[in-house]
Amino acid sequence: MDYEIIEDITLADIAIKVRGYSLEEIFIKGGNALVSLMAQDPSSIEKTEIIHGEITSHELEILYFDFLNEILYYKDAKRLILMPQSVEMTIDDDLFRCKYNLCGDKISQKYTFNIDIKAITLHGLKIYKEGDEFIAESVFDV
Amino acid sequence: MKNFLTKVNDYTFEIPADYKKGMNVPARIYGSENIIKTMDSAVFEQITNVATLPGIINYALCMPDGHSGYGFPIGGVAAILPETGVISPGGIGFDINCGVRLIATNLTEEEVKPKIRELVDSIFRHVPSGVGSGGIVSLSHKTFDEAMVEGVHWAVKNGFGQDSDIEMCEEQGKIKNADPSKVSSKARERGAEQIGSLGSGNHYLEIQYIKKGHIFDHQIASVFGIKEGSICIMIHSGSRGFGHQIATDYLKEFSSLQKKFNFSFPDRELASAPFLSEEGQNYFKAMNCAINIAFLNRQLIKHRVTEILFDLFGKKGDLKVNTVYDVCHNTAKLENFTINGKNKTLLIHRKGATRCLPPGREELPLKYRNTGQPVIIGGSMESFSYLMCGTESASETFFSTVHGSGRVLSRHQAKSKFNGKSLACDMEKKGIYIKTASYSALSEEAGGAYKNVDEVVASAEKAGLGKIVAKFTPIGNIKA
Repeated sequence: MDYEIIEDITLADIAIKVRGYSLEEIFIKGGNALVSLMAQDPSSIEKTEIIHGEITSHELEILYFDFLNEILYYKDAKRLILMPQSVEMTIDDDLFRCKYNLCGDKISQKYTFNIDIKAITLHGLKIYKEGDEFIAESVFDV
Repeated sequence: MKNFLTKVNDYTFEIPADYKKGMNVPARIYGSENIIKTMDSAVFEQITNVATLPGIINYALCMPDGHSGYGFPIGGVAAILPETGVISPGGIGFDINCGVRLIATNLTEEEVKPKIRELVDSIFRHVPSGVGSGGIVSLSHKTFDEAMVEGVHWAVKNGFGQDSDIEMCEEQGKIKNADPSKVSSKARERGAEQIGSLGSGNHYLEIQYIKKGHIFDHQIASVFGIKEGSICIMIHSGSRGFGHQIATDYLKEFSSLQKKFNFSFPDRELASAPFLSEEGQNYFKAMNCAINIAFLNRQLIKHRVTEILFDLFGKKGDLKVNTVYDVCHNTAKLENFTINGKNKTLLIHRKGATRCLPPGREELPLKYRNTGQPVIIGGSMESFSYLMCGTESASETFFSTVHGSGRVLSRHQAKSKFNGKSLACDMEKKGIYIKTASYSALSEEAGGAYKNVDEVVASAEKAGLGKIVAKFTPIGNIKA
């Protein structure tokens, strides 16, 4: 697994941490973790649908929050289970911009789901650096 | 016992207002010493964070089933002065009006047990559950707007229920001040195809019966329409993606406005808006739409289950399937109280807690005016569930009480400790037939992941937070 469970934050929900050497890497790993918690076998998700999008925020944490929420939106509104395929980050005048490609398939009986993540919370949401590594921590409502 | 807790009495403990910078009131936590010991330390941090909310009065309150979540702990309650205080999405939760409906039938355990597999399998097939399952109805933009305002009334008007279903819900299944214009298009899109679906996680539909000797107040049980040996059904679900998105939209907006409002909370999830501000009112009106959609959701599921029961047991000519009551767990509602002899309206935030109005309250259906409100407490899938009634002694918690058992293990810990398939086999040996989409998810909901519900409910009663009326034994469960 490319994410760690943080145990002492919440009993009811799920807190996770992802690490990477770039912001792009932690966004991709965060998105993959979100889907991995829901789908029993994320590696089996076929790539029949591609969604391109762009989001911006003056706050990096909120950009991450918005990015993960995009995955939840497509799951519920379009019944698509999507994982990040690529992410491109830029910063202009303190505005963080994230261009992304999400890739996946229609939700169907082909796939077994363990749980449904209801929402991304702001509880304990943080992105920080330790040495050369970026780390993102977030809590998902189950 | 934690050294920062002061014992008020055997079932009430207090954390003083000087425990943490910014607390406006002390925190009170209810339960036996043993129950308090089972609470994870994050509960105490979260409930003292609640005490920092502007406008909170008396105490930040935590029920005996309290456990850590985000923002408020699960089991957290705050009474806020609407004129000067705030509304906080983190004090309600993303699953707005997650709640429970209790259905009573005149079927007996002897009649249902031989067909329990057939019944559970049929409900599993016909009541949508799990990820991407769809809903019982698909609403156009216009009818969705009507449903947001009318809740259970919309269902009954459209042939999905009976008049008594309306009467036997909190707020008669239709809370006022719901304004669809305050709901985003994303929330509509996330919710449109999910109305009439269970969801997943700790949501469930359980078939239960009342064993001989498990009614503790026969007079009140009789008014509630339950009797020994009879089959009851509990439906635990909420407002689905619709409510999740409304909470997400407004949490993000409030978070960006904290400087403007001059708020600084220890947890960003507590981002709030003054209740009377335009932003606060917009959220309140959108949240009320989600409250109504959750009422409608549980009504549609009840209607579908009723059809299945008639299909399987309709030969019993006088089959009765009645809503006992439908309670909310995750809401902020304006409620009336008498404080120091004066009538006062307060904004009561409850997150994972149940309203428990005492006898005499006009908000109750006429039938329950002399008994107090039915309070439905779901246990874990392996344990008993309970029915209590509201009592005057719960005034300190603004008539709030427990909603379930409360977790003692995280989902990850439970998954490591229990095997879903073995659990299902063991439960079947004990007489509980379970149907689930995922054994992995089942392990997270094992009875051992929860507090002892008997002790939680006894603690609530001894703390004055309601009176036990009956308990239910599970025989079948649909775990999404």
